[in-house]
Amino acid sequence: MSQADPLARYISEAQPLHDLLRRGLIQLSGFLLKRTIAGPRAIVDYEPVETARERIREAAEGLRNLGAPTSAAHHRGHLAAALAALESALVAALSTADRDGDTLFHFVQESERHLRAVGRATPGFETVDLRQACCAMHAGGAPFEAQFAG
Amino acid sequence: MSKYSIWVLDYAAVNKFPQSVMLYGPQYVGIRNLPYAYVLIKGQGQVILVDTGYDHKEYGKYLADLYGVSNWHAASEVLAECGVKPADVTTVLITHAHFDHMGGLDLFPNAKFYIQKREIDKWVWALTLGPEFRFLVGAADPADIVKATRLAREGRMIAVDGDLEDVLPGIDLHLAADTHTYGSMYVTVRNDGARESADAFILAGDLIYTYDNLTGLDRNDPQLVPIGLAVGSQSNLMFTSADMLKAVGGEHKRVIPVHEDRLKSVFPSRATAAGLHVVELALADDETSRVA
Repeated sequence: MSQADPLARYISEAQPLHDLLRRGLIQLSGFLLKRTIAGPRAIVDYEPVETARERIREAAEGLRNLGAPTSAAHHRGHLAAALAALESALVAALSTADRDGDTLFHFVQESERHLRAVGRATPGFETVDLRQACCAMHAGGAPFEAQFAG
Repeated sequence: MSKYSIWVLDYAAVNKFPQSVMLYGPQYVGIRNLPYAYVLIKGQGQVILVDTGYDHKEYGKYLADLYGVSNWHAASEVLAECGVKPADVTTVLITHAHFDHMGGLDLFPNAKFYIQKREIDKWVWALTLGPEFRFLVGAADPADIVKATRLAREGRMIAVDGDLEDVLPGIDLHLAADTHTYGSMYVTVRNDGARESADAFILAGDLIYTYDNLTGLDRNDPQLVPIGLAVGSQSNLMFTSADMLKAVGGEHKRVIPVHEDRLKSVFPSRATAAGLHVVELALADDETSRVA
């Protein structure tokens, strides 16, 4: 497939958006995890939420401009649903009403579900980057040292 | 009088792992077999795991295809070699948050999990950095974060803030900050129950990959050699190794590197039908050997 192929172009343009959504999800999940283990009276660091807000904004902008051929419509639908869930999660994270984190957790799970569906739908869209996993740092492809090459 | 039985259980392997990652220093010095393993501790009415392994689906399959991880077997199959089911596990002690140590959070439905608070705090912090810092968050699996959050909300994920004696009777947790990861942890089993134990084992996570980290390669001129993969410092790794050695009276073989392929020849062991190994470090008084 060449870039002239609509599906190939779609995959190329959707990949960074998927990555942005994944990063937003990680941030909001991490924020909730820290908040949960710290307990209700702890001072909460909102930096992950601010980072998530930026990733989500970038993803929303990109997704608005992402055209999808018919064969990718289902895939794009999951991306859009993941984005919507993350936007709701962001609102919950910033809300004083969601003290127990129930709403935030609901939307985090919802977003994760859609991103996992995206990962299953298209090779190359896996939700995790394992390229630097501690015990997998030799690749079947690139040699280990190459990962640190400038 | 051993209070706990302790087994190291292979569940997969990387057959060609760069030695330069296992031992800091010389490059292009070859490869070694690197077992993936967790530790089963049984006794005192407890079934304890040190680390969870990972689940070989979705990300696991991706990993296997990409990095040559082979011969993965499910926890249900691996633990059965010692007569244990995943549902029997009461406690999991997570040495650090990399996928091959923490990627099985949802495999043990009745367990309570312990991890260092620093590991979570710094992991989440590092994730806020730009992609140019992604080395610091290798294996940041969002599914694991969500699973950990779920467990924390259920009261089943306990964040330990530093060292903790007797998390269970005779079992201590030790923070090794800024080493392999920001909040790595090692586990001491004082198997005679004594405070100054003469029968201690240390389960080192990835603070060492091999006994060679404790001795160097020249047996006539021993030295500590840190692992080659750290977000913290080599100094911290070396001083942690020294602490671990001191706690076992300098007896190297009692500091257990789960990725060490030679464990099976240092301790009694057997190969399973699946080509994995059961390594028996200790046997409680009321337990039957699983390697005889």
